[in-house]
Amino acid sequence: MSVSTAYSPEFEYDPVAPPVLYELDVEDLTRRMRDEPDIEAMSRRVLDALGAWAWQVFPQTFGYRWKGEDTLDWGNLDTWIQSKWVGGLVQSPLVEKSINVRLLQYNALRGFIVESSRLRQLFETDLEIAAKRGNEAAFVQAAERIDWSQRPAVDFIRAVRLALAAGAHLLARNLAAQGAKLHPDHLELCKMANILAPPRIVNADILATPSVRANQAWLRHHADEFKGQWVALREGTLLAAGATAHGVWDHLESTDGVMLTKVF
Amino acid sequence: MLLKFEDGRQFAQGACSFVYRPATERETKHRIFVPVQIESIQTEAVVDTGGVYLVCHPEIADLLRLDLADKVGTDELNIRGRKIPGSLYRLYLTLLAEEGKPLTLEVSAFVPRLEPYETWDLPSFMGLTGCLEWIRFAVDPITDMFYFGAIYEGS
Repeated sequence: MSVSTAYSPEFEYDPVAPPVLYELDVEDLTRRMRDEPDIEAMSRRVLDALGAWAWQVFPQTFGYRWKGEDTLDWGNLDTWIQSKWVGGLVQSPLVEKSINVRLLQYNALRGFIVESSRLRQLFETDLEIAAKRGNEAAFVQAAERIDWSQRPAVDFIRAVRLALAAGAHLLARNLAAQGAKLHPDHLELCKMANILAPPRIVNADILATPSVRANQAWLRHHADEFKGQWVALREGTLLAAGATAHGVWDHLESTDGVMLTKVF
Repeated sequence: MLLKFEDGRQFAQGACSFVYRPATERETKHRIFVPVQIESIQTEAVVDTGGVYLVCHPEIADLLRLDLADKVGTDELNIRGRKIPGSLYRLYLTLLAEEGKPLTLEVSAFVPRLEPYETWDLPSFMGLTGCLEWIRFAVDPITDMFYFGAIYEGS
């Protein structure tokens, strides 16, 4: 992102920067808010964009004030920055879109910022700290204090990731399941719930494999000779050995009935 | 011979011999290595009742060509106090049987993500949570046999 920090009273905004503001559309933003796994990164991008505006208008404003041309009210800096931003969007000659669409973009972005801020407030507290420290017990306690019954899907996704980082694996499973039940149309959350679900017995029609016994016997007697190597065995016979699994696997004429393992 | 309850119900549906050896070159403690099939590849995995998920050796996962879209990416997973970057998948794991019937499970599987210069110095592990938690298993250290059985509803 290119950001001009020089005082340039001729231009109220830089029509080039920040480009992300002009390229977003509401549908794309809404989709990303729902599915973007790295919500923090996107939030930072949006806040960077706002920061760029603030940085750009700051010297300009003081320049105007110095020259006695400033008529802006400094009462609410946030509102002022946002007004400038909307003005920039509306006036931008680079975007061939209606004013309504630009305002919708603005509203979507503002909603996103508020949502991100709320998420940050929620997670940068107890949950984040516990996850960063890998403190499973503290994480579980912090999660128990949160009412999850009304939380949006993004909260569950973030919480599941943090739970995994904290080592709270059962809580991660339960949160994913609860979130998927609450938001059954959310693909990412449903995928999480499926992957973390309890193991499921599959009625696979596989016969006993007596050759396994021969492979085990080979490993019992010859493992020491091949320490650190990958070995491919079939019915107790060594087919290939090597430093990498790929190297050994690719060396085989047929992989049917082959056991591939690394000997430690 | 497979294990049974007093009333004749089966405790185990299958059994296989295990190899008892250290899990890494540096370790001196022995672990129970059981023959398994992860998706389509026969390999070995260590029984780790203090662990979580099936931790699949990255080189085996690479051979399986797992669908990258079908995963939960994590910044890092805390496994027994060790923070490891990687992804979670849902994979089929079969406990192979020399006697009786093999047992196939759909489990949560963690695949560590390695940097190009890194190697994974551990075998695949079968943890309790997310992997072995819903099966019966028993070990006979005299015959080096590992017994396993499904827990079905009502059993």
